[in-house]
Amino acid sequence: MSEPTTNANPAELVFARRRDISFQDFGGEGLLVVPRQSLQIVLNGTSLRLLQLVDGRRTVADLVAAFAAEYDAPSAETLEADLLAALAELEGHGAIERLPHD
Amino acid sequence: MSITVSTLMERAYEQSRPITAQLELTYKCNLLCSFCYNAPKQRSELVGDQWLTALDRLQAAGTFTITLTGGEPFVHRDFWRIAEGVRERGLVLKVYTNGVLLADRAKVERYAELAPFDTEISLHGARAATHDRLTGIHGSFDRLMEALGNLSSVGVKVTLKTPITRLNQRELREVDEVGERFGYKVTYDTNITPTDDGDLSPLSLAADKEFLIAFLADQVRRGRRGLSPRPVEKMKQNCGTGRTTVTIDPYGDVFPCIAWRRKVCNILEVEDFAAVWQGRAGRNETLEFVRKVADEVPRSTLAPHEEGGFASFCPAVAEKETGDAYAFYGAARVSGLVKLEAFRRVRGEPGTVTEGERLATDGKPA
Repeated sequence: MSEPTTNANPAELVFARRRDISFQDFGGEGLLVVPRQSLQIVLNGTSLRLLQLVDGRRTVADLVAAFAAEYDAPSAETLEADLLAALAELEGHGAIERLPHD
Repeated sequence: MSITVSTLMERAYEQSRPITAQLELTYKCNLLCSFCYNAPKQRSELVGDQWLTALDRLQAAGTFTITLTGGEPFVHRDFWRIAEGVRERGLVLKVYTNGVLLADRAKVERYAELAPFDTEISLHGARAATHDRLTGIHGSFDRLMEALGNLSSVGVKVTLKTPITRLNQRELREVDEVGERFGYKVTYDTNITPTDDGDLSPLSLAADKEFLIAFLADQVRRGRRGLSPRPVEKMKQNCGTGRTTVTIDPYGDVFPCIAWRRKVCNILEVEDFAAVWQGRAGRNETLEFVRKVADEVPRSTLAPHEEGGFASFCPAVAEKETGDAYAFYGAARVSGLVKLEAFRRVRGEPGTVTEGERLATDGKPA
């Protein structure tokens, strides 16, 4: 799955969890189940936390701010790039979807 | 070290987290299977609201996957409310059904919207006469075929489950073909179990030992299944009974798993089910006992026997059949011997049983 190709500023992108997925925290890592694709995969801590935070309202900028507040994060630019890569991966698994830009 | 799904399951085991719950919604059924293990009682079955309360309590204890079963779960009057409740809570939904009611196309479309992760359906033979004889209902096979067509057309994943019996053992290749026709995998169960109240009569349907050896070897050679011994001397546990699995019957009684009918509590009588399961609500003799047995069985019961690593051993069945949960009961021993013999044949090693080596699954020489 490629990274977002929209012309919109990546920081303004908004993602939502798809309704048919399930996920659970197993003590640091998570288990993601995507019935549509008969997929069961392990999420690392970053992807798990992202999935918990993605709610159809928070922008990528909000997610970057949340991670910066919770973790000893690298620079905002690096963090944003890392999170966009993780979001693209979750989108590729069918766990989240990008909402249309206003 | 990379973290795998198995790693997470081990973590759940160590934390005694009931990640998989089987809810027996009802013992009512539209079929009359002669080997059914359910043992209905004269008590009121839980209704929708009560099952939703059960879901909340299970989720608070760490449950992730809910299997709705029965009896036949679709005949519960609140099935849809309960199934929707599973999905609304973000839990993984599985259903174990005989499939008959899914011959209704509209029902299947509604079911697909629930995004079930898996739907397990019993298929007792490749021919209507065989299937209907085992289910006791004329027409059940035809209805099932309609159901599989409906499910396949809307993209619902199905796993067909076929218990191998004396009655269907000669048509298993055709059973594979039924699965292939709809794009579904067939899993075979060589174990027939006693009923929940200890009646051993279903065991008389068990397939011939020599047939099972040839069948298993054939399945391995055709790449349909693997066959290797479990490392019983190193295994931490025999199964997840009372730790990662939990079963609730139609009356709300909680059991350590689908097979072991030692009551833990009633889900409606314990607000904090997690505290009961984790031992924070005081000692629970059932949980302590079944966990101890599950931990000890690999080394104490299975490891001393050459066939132990191949055996399908269920301590609950051992207790039902012999009164001793550690006893290497007859059917478990036979299951081990059958797989050991098939394993040897596939590897070209001399076996202890020589007759029928070239038998195909239709019973004719290959």
